[in-house]
Amino acid sequence: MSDHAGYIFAAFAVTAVVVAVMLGRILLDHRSLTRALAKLPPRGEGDGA
Amino acid sequence: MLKYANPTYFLRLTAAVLPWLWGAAGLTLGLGLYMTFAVAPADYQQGETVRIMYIHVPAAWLSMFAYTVMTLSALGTLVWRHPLADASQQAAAPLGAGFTFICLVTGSLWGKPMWGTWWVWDARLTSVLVLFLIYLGLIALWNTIEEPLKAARAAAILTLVGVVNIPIIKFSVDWWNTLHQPASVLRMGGPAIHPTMLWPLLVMALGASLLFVCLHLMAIRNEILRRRLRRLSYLAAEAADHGLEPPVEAGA
Repeated sequence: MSDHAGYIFAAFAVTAVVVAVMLGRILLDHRSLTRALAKLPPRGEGDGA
Repeated sequence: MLKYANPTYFLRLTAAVLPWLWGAAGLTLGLGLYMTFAVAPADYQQGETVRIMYIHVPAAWLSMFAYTVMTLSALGTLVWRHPLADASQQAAAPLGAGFTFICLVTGSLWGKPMWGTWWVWDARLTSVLVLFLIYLGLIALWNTIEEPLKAARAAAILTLVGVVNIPIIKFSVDWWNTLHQPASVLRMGGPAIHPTMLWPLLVMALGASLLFVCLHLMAIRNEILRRRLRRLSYLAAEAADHGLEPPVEAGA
């Protein structure tokens, strides 16, 4: 691509990694929360706050 | 309006909307990346390195947008004391930090070949670094204060204090002599950038914004679930202490 291909690749790679970390963190958090909620006694739907 | 601000309704609505938003974000980002590498020309001075702009600029815009979302949520916390505003504040801070980090790193990777240095302490770069530190401070504050309502109020006040940094970032290139170039898209007199570069940039910015909205909504959903879990665990423990039946949430 150019003499600076390494900089371009690194910039896009860092972006992909950071976005993947943000998404992965949210998904793992969601999984642990839904599992913890499922362990509690059966319940209806309230205000959710 | 109150119906939409109800956390349970919010969970139902976002569950229906999120798959469509993710689809739109994926398509827009895919198109934006195609335009970045196959349509947009190389710059006559910067050559191919200009392609870093297509992620650096949207990340920079989102770093400030996330803070604006947090500021509006902070007002919701302090004025209306709404739990959804608390959740929105808390959910936006790590995302804002993430996009600011992308902005700083891609800027550095762009600056080295173009300016000959990874970093300079000019007003634009320094004020964005301050924004990143404010995000980290807010995340630390949320994690330090155990009681969610107190944490939300403290974070809201710090957020409102820190918002002064947003116009400083925006206008730093006009108020001071900086190595960073002045605004070339959001400026009086219209964009100074050629349409062959402007359109890929706008498509990437739209895709990145949709990505932020998806992540933010998912994170808000998590905060709502965390509060629900906290309350139900507390009620379950209280019921166990008094030898009562397990709790049933209101509205069951």
